[in-house]
Amino acid sequence: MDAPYIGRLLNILDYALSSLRRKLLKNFGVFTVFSVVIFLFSSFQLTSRALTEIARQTLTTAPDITVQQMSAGRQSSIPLAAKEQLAAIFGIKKIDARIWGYYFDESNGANYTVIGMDTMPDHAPGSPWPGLSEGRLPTAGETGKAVISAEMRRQLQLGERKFFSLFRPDLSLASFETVGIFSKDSDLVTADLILMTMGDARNLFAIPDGLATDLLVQVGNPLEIDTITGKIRDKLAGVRVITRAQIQKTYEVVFSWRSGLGTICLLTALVSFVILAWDKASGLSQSELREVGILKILGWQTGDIMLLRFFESATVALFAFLTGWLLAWVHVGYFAGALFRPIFLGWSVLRPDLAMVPPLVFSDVLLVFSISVLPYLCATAVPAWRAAVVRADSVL
Amino acid sequence: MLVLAEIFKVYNQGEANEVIALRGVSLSITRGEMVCIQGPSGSGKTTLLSIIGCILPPTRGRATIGGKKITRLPDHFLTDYRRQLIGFVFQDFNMLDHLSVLDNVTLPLMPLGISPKVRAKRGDALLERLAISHRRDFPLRQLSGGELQRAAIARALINDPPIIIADEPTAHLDSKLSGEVMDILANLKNEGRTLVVASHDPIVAGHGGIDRTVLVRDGNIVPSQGSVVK
Amino acid sequence: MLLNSWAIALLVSAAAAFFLLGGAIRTAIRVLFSWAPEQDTAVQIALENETWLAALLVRYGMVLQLASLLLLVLAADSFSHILIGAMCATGAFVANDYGMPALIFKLFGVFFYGFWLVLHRLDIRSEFLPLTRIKFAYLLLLGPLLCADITLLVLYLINLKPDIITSCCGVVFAAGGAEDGNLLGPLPTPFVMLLFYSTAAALVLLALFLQRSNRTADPMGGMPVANFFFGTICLFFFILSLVVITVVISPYIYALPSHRCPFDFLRVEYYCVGYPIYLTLMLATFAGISCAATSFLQKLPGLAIPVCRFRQNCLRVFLLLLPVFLALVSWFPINYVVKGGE
Ligand SMILES: Nc1ncnc2c1ncn2[C@@H]1O[C@H](COP(=O)(O)OP(=O)(O)OP(=O)(O)O)[C@@H](O)[C@H]1O
Ligand SMILES: [Mg+2]
Repeated sequence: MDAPYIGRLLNILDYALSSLRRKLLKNFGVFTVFSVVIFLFSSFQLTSRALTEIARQTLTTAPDITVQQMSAGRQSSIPLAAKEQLAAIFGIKKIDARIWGYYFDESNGANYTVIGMDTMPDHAPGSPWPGLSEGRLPTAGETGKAVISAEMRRQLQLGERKFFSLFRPDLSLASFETVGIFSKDSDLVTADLILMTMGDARNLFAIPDGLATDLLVQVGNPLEIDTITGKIRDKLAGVRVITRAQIQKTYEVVFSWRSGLGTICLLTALVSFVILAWDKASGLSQSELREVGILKILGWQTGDIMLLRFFESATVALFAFLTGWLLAWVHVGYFAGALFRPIFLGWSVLRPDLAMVPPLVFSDVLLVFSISVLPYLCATAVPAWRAAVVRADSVL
Repeated sequence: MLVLAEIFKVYNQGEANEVIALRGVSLSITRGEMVCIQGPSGSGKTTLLSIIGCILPPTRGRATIGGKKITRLPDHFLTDYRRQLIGFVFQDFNMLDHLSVLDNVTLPLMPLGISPKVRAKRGDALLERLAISHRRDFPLRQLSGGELQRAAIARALINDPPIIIADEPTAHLDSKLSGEVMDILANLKNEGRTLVVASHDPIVAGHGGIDRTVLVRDGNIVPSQGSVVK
Repeated sequence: MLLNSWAIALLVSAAAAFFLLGGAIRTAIRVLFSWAPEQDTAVQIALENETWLAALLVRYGMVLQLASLLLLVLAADSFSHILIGAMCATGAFVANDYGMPALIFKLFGVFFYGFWLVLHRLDIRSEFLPLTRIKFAYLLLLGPLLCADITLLVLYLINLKPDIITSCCGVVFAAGGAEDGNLLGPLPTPFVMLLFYSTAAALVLLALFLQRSNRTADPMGGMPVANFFFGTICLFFFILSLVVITVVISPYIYALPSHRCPFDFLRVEYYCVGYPIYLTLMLATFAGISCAATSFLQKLPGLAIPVCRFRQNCLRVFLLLLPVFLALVSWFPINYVVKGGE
């Protein structure tokens, strides 16, 4: 009863491994199904983690504070005069006006985001921008110049051509020349984006002079953002002030919500798998009964057999976990989560070819582990016990 | 070494298929004795051996094995005594086909936490003694019946138990091999071990090593012929 | 926020724990009704087998409880990225009324499962199984505990809304000063630290004393008063340690005077130092309380030697882990003082 603890564990583990090797074919089915389930789970988790990371990186170039006019609880245009009012606030480095909106392309059913700006955040007009893979940004005063993504060029079926046209509200055509292409790194937010000058956007959406959609505020010291937010609220009546951190949180909420929904769907798969595993483990074959009977009559305790069974299930589960996790890693890192992208980026017809590098986070591993391996091991408890209480005298 | 008093064993007590297998068996065996238990089929020989071998708890009665009280004892205590006191030789060998001879022989040592090296050493020594060390790493199905039973005896001895119990050890062997196996068992007696052998094979009962024959019928020891001292 | 992956993981473990404990409680009820160790009936044999199942289920339940405690903390850490105003896990826990109670139930749940396993371990050491009825009666109490645990968890998750504005650790665990609702109350920090270290010293002395008397005194004796004190002080020290770690020690770990979070130092940025700190504290407390609580079992038939041996092991573990814990915890402030407080 007081056997050396480690020695006993090692011996029983040894026996469990050799008996797994013997029953390789029988365990292969469980291993495969389990690997697939874990692959799906971890792909979900890794995709959402990678997307959050991309959003975080992309948002670092976003303005510190966005100011929008609210009217009757909805967003409305903000008068450019507000710019002068804010300029007086100490700590604000720069204020830019922006026009943005959605453009629905009837020919392919896609929704594009149009942003019109005269100066890009943090960059002098005309200078090369890190967000572009080629070309330049339109400069203030230019007309008919736009920057779009490579994905959008495909969507618009531009081929080698540089010019494309969009409809104004009165159905007359506005023509644009592409002067630059967004880089792939920011595809998450720029895939469906058309960037142009304020004047062009005003023209395209037929917005009167003196109005803009929102004001972008750059702050000198990031620690002052909250204070300045408060001051802006005091100065301007009925505005909504959004900080970069809040936008970031919104992204995380969306992604974690979506990955949760996916997890629920996959849970169904796990439950059915657990039932299958239970079924397989609970039926004791004649030869298994005999084996346990012999072990018990030779002095193996009930606890020894339960430990043996636990090692068997745990080994299968661990190997399946490692396999599933590695496959998911490859899937997300090298194939950009091809299977799940439609779910995560599903709001747009555009499907950017994002390059995702999921960071290795311990809590992700634990999360997937506790959703998959722990329930599985719990499900094996009863079959393990059932095998362990086979009576020693059954082989006499 | 071994004292049974008024032992009853009832299988499936409280159920419809209740069987009274032993009805008040009293038996005492001294250290170093070799006892043969005989009786017709279904008379309760295996049940009696299971109780002596700490496999089954008796339903009623008093019993001590090797100085340890075994009545009213939880199962894991019985198993613990079995590990220390008892070596078993079975009718059907009860070896695991997928293990080698050595692994089969050292199987009882695994849950004791004994390292593979020590296990192999002790196993090798026993295989040597029983003259089957040339079959050490053979898979079981390549062994002959005699070799199998020798391996089974080696396994029974791996704990160095003071008591060896054999239930029909010669059932699957021809008469020459039966004699050999009985010689081996009788040799163990000379080391000071106590042996209890159940069989209806006359070769067993007639073997020179047997000190005493106990006749069991209908779950009890027949007093007139029981305890015949040779 | 039931649709978040973390919430789902927590709910899955809760469901698993529910089924495990449900199975164990089924056995417990059957044992309490028809346990008859002196009989050799089919029913009794089945029951004896079932007690092994119950023990296995509770053991798995304990692992699950530990895992879900860890999950809950990590989940709160992840929620803090989503909740406005929360910079660390503390903010996520105080985002509604159920967070902290859920955490506390989970934490103490681990201990209660552990005690059952101690009872079981001692029980099977005696051939009379003298604790079987007691341990299964105790198992019945784990049922309501788990139900409360799950209810709190579900309430916490349901009421957790991304748009709720919560506060952060600097506010929640502000030390000293006059703000009401802080953890230390009106007590000054030096006094609390003095109390902390003197309690630890008292515990070590008591443990050494018990170790001696346990070795020399006759195993049937026991020392009810000393043991009672030891157990109570252990529990007190555990709670005091949690407070001290949060309010006094953690700012030194972060090197930020206003950052008082008992969870952040589990993160990789702080070399996961939280895991050894909490593990040693929990194990030492568990060993101490187990040692004290089992002293009353020594008189039961067949348990004198197993209990004596078990308590000796407990005291050994306690005397090993408590200094480790103290060293870990003291290292940060000492390092700060030695380096001249930069
Ligand atoms: N596990 C069991 N459950 C119920 N009844 C049993 C069990 N084992 C044995 N019996 C019954 O107990 C009686 C004694 O059986 P036992 O196996 O001891 O006889 P035996 O003398 O060894 O017979 P044999 O010579 O055929 O091996 C028989 O009537 C048998 O049917
Ligand atoms: Mg028989």
